[in-house]
Amino acid sequence: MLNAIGLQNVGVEAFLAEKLPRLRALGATVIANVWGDTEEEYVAVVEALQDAEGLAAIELNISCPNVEKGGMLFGNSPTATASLVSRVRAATRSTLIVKLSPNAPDLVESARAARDTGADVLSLVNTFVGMAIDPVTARPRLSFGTGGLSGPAIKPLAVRMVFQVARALPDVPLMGIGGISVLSDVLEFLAAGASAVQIGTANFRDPGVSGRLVKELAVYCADRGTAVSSLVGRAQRIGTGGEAGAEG
Amino acid sequence: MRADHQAVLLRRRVFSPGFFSVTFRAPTLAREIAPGQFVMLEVAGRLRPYLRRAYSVADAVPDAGEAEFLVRRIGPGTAALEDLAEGSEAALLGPLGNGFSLAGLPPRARVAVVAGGIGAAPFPLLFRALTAAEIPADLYLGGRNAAELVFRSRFAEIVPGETFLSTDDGSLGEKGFVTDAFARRADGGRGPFYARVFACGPMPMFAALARVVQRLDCPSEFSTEAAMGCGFGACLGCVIPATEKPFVISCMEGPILPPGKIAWEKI
Repeated sequence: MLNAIGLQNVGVEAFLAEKLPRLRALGATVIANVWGDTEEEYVAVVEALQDAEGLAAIELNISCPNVEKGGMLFGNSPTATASLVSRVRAATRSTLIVKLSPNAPDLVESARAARDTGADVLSLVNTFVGMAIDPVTARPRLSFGTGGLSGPAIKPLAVRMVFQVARALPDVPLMGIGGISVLSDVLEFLAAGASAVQIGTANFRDPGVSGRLVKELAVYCADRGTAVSSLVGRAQRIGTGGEAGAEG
Repeated sequence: MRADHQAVLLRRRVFSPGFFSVTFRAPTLAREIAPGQFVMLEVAGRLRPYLRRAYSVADAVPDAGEAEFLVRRIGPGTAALEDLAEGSEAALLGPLGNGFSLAGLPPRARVAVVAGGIGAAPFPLLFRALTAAEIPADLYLGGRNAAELVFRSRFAEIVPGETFLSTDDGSLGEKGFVTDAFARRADGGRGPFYARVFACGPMPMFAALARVVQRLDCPSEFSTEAAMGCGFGACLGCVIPATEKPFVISCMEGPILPPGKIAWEKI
């Protein structure tokens, strides 16, 4: 999927007043994903969330390619990442997840910057900047020009990035993201080094996919008498037979 | 209630190359669907297109447990339906969206249905409801050329009123836009001729029709077309610029919207 939907949302006040109570009533584990144009905006939203009941964690989106400023700007430079994360860290006691951009020039450096300045967990990856052009009219398919590419097309890229960050920062819990649709995708990300996964695009195709994969993973583990935690990083222990990231 | 219905393809009727109807066995959906509502359809076992596609339900026969769709092939999603073998399965997530409203029509009211091209798709079921409610209705069916009006035979017996055909190139019916054909008859000079207008078609048709119905002060319901990623309000890819707030979410607040809610100048 190539999208330029951006970050449409109701805002933090309406989220706290309307959406969070509804999600809690459903028994959901809630993680708030936060984005701002400036460091001050990120901090203001995080402070507004600080005393919310029933929020499991806060995730910083520093990597959305569909907003004109902010967003990806913070994700593309380790210095900007470090500055933002340290300010947000000072503003909250919540578990802090930082969602990394695959468009960063050096993802491992960005990951290290986020970890060193207070991220508890890293989630990766957000969408890749992509473009589609109508072959007849030669106009971009998206009115924004470019958009974020997600779904199965990016899975091998995302698995490689999780593998690389897990190797470089073995003590940081990672959430793997990128094209997960079926159980084997979940197992692949766990093997690469993710302790958990997120599902985005596949929900649009099948709104029941997340619950189903949770059940399938439980059955998979029960059948083998193993725990999810023992599936994490298996590929790290086996190794690649080569250097991950090699282009040849 | 919204559900993911596993439906079996019973038959395909080809009207002309690239224009066809598919009828599925989907008893619960056939019972619950209202005119103007839609489903997100996925052909089983296919990864392309990855996302489901939105289809208006063209007709539903609860007694037979059947739901029908009118389709024009435009890309891999519609091609998958064109290739689907009878007896094969598709998943139909629905009913979705709000549907057309027949409530509050005055006695002896006459309504108009304005359809551009494949915009004819949602209307057989609406005509079924109008006929049951004994509400007379005229169909204005337009397209660029005669080939785009191939679904006219599907409406031959079911319009509880007159049918007016028009084509941009004059190859069938009146020459000109369907909105002009509608405007010529709708403007009775003594207030609106029609108590309500139901419309579906491309955005330029809607924009022109919005001006006509506003001038005639004629209440209208447009079945908006927007690319839908999910169909249930999660992706927000189908938003349309609105007048009373920045956007309306087509799949949740629509797809049937009064033209006054849409900010036409921003489209």
